[in-house]
Amino acid sequence: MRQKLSSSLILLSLLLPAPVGYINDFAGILSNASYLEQQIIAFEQETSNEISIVAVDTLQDETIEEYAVRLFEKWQIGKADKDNGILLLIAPNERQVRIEVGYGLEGALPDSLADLIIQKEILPAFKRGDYQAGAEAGLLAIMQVIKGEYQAEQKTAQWQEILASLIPFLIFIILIILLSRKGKGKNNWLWLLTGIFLGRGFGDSSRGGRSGFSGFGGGSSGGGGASGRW
Amino acid sequence: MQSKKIIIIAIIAVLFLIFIAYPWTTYNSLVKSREGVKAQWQQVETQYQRRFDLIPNLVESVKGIMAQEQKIFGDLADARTRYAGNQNPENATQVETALARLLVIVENYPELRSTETVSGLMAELAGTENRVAIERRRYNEEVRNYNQSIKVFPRNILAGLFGFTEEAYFEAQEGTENAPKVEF
Repeated sequence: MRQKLSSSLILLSLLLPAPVGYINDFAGILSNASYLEQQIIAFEQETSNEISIVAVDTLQDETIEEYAVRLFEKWQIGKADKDNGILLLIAPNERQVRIEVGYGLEGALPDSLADLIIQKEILPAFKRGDYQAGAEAGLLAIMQVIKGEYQAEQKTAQWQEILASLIPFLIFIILIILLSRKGKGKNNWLWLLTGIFLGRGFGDSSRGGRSGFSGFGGGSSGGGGASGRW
Repeated sequence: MQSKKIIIIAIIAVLFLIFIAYPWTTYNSLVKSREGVKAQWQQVETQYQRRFDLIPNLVESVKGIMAQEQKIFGDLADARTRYAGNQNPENATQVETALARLLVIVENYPELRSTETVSGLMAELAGTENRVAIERRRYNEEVRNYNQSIKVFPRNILAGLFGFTEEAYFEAQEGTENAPKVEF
């Protein structure tokens, strides 16, 4: 037991990087990372599934399975209520690759299928040293397999956004009506309010329209997926 | 006499904090932590069950080709029967050992590895073993948190009073950490 505990203490001290996007090419092996990033962003907006591709220089003497699950625990890939995250971890120096599947996608992407994707789509290109092609083929296969599993909740979100954007407009109209009805007189405060409102309201509307990476959603995994070497 | 009243109220408030509020919250957080340990053990057992269910499929699909390896199939069947009868950690470990041996043997049959069914089952099995390892590690972390929380002062007094006892870590049985070697 002592040995087990001390080894888990060592694990706690693993130096895990922070995510910089959906693609995290810390090893510098992908020739067109931004293309992959765009694919994943579009896919996330359509399905809410979060996929991250990570290439690391070293697994720090850890097995790729342990490293992958640690990284998943720290980054929390996938939405919190769906656990629909996938991590594609590449360790070019150890010549190992792993697909770690979030709890919510284990049904859509069982271990045998993850193994098949690694053997048939990813490893042939990796063996030639073409990491970009392997990652692309792997990503494409993963997206095809998990596409039907979840839907982004965009409809309600859109309605809420429309409503939210209407509210300031309505307030603005009410203020104008109040101002025009009372005519000139002691309603300076109304003018003041309108002024403040104009300044703030239109400043606010400039943000929104989310696109790109804004952090992962809080998903978790439990060791599902497959690994391969080349 | 106003100040006397305030003092009395203050004393009552302090006594309330020490004898009611603190034990109350401590008790609840200890219960939560202990339930966390139990829930995590359920996760481990779920993965044991998954492993258990996979075995017949795997055995069926490799048995014919590996005719000269009857001993391992016998061992595996025995271990599985024992585990079905009594699901204690020792029997679980025996299933694990037998499975690990089978996995190593299958690796030595390239023609087996190349059939899609077998390689799929192997991947499922490897995934299950990985899940077991991870849920066990999380179980040990839960246990460590819980054990720590009942041992620190002054919680240890309350934990003793309420009857919270230390939970056992999952200990790997001797020799199961390393996959066994197979000689040909």
